[in-house]
Amino acid sequence: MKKIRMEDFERELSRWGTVFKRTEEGFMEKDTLFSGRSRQSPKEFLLPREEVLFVARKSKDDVEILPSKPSKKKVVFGALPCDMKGLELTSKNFMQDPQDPYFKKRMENTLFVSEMCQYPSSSCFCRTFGFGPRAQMGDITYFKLDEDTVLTIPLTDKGKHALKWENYPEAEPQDLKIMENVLSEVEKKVEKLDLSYDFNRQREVYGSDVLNESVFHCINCGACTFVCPTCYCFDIRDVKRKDFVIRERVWDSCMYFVYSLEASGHNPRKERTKRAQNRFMHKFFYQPLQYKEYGCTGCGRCIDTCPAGYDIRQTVLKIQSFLEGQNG
Amino acid sequence: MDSYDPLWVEPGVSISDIMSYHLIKMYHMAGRCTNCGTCERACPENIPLSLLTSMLAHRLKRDFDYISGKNPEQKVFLGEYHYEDREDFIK
Repeated sequence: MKKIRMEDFERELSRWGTVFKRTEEGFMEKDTLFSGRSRQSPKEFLLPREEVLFVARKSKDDVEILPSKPSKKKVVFGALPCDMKGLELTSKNFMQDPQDPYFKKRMENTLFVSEMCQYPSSSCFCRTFGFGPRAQMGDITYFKLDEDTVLTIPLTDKGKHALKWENYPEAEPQDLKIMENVLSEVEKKVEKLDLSYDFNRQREVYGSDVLNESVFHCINCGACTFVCPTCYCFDIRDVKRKDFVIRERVWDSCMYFVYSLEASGHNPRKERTKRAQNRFMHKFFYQPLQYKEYGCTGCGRCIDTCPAGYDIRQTVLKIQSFLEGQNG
Repeated sequence: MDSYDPLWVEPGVSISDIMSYHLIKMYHMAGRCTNCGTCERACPENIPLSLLTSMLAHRLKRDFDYISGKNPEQKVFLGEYHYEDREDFIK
């Protein structure tokens, strides 16, 4: 690990692209780094809220297709392990065959600089999912030793080329010791739920009274799906203007009635609680079945954000005991 | 929000759509909203909604001498009218 002054570190990174730092709201072009988890995850760097796919313009007797502008080079600075894990899970969906070209392009044009987490909050439970505050993810990872110094290490080729690593001194053993102590203190504060689901029993869980009661107070506002680092549902729409049409990709949410409404008029999830149940099922059953990993990173954003006070950890534990109970 | 036909508000992030959503909502809230502030406390995005709701309350008091939620017997604001009500704003 290298020891670098924060100032130099940021200056070098700004040469790679525009630096977006973690703020209270989300990742923005600001001077100061927020000490804590941002409200929005950095998923909008790969999957923006509104993304133009192409513009179709009417010319004399033909239609002209104008491709979208290439995305700029950006540095996401200070993403926490839960954010990075979220992006990793989201990528599984977009980077599997057939790859999403827009997502891939953004992935190439973004440098992820992650920070080892020192900001555990009461809603954090990332250790449940096999990683934790000390996880090293992204292209470069760093540990904030103090306000002015970081200990950092590149993890990918992109990260190795972003900085002139050979110009900086190696971290001293006592620095690494401080890092070790701080991180193990932080780890103690992060909750670890005991989770061992049998995914093949999904049909028993969906629609069960336990799950139904557990999500009953959800008001389907969709706030959790927008702040979630692993929710990637989108809708494609055409915006009509006078002589051109913009094809856009916008965020969508499984919490809304029209999300699952079919053209025939039938809606498989027309009840409010069915939609809330589906979100839980997708994260904890369908996604593990498909991608061999839980679709939740335990960042706790949905818990902090929910206007109805829903805590997904309660549901996780209730379903755990439900599955155990059924086993005898 | 839960309607495609008609599409009242488009699902993007354009300011005009977000504004029209809030204005449509506020039109329906006039006379019902008691300006209790719960929406602002619940808002996941910290939108200062009480700016809008307190304006509703203020206008109702100023122009129609109506305070919603004061008396369970009183009629709903949008459900009654008086001959002396202002109508100069109707074009």
